[in-house]
Amino acid sequence: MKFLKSLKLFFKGVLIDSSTDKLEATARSLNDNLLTVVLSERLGMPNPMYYYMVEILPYIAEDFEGWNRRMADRKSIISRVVGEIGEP
Amino acid sequence: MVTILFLIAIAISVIAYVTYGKFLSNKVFNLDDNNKTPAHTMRDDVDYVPAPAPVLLGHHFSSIAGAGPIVGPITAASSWGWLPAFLWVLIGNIFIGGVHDMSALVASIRNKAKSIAEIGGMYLTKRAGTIFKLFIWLALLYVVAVFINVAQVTFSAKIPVIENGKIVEMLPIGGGVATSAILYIFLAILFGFIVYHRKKNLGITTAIFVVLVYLAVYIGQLFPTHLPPNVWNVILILYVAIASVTPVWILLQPRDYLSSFLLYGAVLGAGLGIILSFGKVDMNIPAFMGFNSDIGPLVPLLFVVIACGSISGFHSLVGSGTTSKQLDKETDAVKVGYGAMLLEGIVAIMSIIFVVVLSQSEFEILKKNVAAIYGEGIGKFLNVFGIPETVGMAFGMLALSSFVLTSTDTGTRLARYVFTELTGVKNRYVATLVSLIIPGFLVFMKYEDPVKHKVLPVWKALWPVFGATNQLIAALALFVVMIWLMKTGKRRYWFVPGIPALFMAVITIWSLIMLFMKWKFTVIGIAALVQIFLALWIFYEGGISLKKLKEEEKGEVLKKS
Repeated sequence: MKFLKSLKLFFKGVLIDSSTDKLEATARSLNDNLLTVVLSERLGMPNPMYYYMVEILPYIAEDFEGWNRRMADRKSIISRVVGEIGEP
Repeated sequence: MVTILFLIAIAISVIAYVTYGKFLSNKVFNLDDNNKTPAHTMRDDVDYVPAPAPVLLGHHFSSIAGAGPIVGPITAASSWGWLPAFLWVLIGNIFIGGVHDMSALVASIRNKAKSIAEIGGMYLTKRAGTIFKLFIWLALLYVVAVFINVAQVTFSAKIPVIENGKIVEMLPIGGGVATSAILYIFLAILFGFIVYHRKKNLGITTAIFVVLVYLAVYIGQLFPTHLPPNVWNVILILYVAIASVTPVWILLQPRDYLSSFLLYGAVLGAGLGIILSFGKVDMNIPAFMGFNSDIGPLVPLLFVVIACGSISGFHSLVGSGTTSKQLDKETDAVKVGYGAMLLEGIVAIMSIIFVVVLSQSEFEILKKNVAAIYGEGIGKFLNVFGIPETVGMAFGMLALSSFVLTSTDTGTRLARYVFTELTGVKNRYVATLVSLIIPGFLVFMKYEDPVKHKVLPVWKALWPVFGATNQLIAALALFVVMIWLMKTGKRRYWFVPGIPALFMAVITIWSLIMLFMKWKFTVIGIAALVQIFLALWIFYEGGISLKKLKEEEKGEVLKKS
């Protein structure tokens, strides 16, 4: 019975998870990019609008630590993108 | 007999998983469930979130499965016979491919889910990284050219209809597949709009659209589209150019999703058909057809022709890209990394079986058309369930063409990103256009062997160059894993990734040299020459970093004493 349950989960991974994985990865990447534009001061890039964007921070900076770590991790485009888009 | 071959392959894979997999898990990598994986230590419920092993296995397998385990094994089996292909798929997967996939995954989870490219970057020079990116860019261009040609060859396919051992007519089944492929694209766009834009229920919409897609196979045969091959080439290049710049939700994601239902339907149906066909289907193609073939000699080319079925460098990038961020327990790495590769091996074995069951006359006509061979195989084994052979064939060919077209889309997108990283050109249209110049050129060329004056189809001529590049990427990943093992105190198991890395490096350089000697200064020869030059440069840089590593270790030993 455990095998059948594993099989069901396997097909969930094969089919259901691949229904939105690329979409989600692209959306996350876009969100991170937006946050980078708003909070670029945090990454060391001077941003003259920084102080004016404080008002929208509660709405977009929910996962601040995660974003900061993901930006620090962005070293190689190819590794991130193959993970997002998949292999050809 | 074919059933027995299939069951032997499954049995060997299971035995290897239990024995060699256990060896890798316990002795080489010391996988311990008490060590928390990055999915737990860096959990953010966004991309670092643990997934149960079967789900992750399914997702990882889905990401790495493509047209590779179909095109490669069919090419090899139709060039040198089924036995060499069969043996290399199994042995290669167990000792090289599975090890490669699993070790890239483990190295990643032990290094905060960094990708293998970044881990390599820690040990190799920056220049090596740039050469490596150029290398990958060229590999992507070759694969886009090959797959555009496979799609064109699918749409122009003609199947011989044989009665009483004689060819009665040539059925132009490709036209019907082309229409169903066009219908499929529109269905995919509609699906994307309904589910991702209008946010309707995924389950119900999936059920409706899967039925529609399967219907498209039948409707396509009623209204075939017949166009000359070069017109298809132009249309396909335009399609790839447009598809790869559109947002992911419009075409790539829904295509990829719906094509899983097509492909797994075909693979599962045919797999079951192979098992149930015991005694009813003959093996007609010989086990060994000779050392030399129209592509070249068996050694070394067999090992690069079957790339994604035995070992593929792109898998390490996928595994260390997303899969490592979702691995729940360390011991899951065997199931996901090693297991997924073994499963892909089974898909490759099925492709070999499809070649084997062709009749002699079918083989003579179809050996230039990989899609038709695959379609014939699916058709024959779905016939066991009573599905008419032409319908099964059209279904199989649509499944392959959808996978192939998604791969061209993916490949072009990746090429655009790599081009941006190499040159700094951020405009996506320019990057896509430049990345499509070489494939566009390659697809229209004629590949005539300078010695024997035999003309090879584009996919057959270019595939070994792509395979060699793909394997070299894998050899590099294995090399990086070996250095990581040595640096983390597992020196005695250096041979587990080290010997496969050496083997793949030698075989791929040898293959590229052989291809250059065969094709001389024609397009393929020059492509091979460029890859040899880049590969040797990367090895040189790798050698320097190994030397630096040894000096560092000597320095540490001296410091301690």
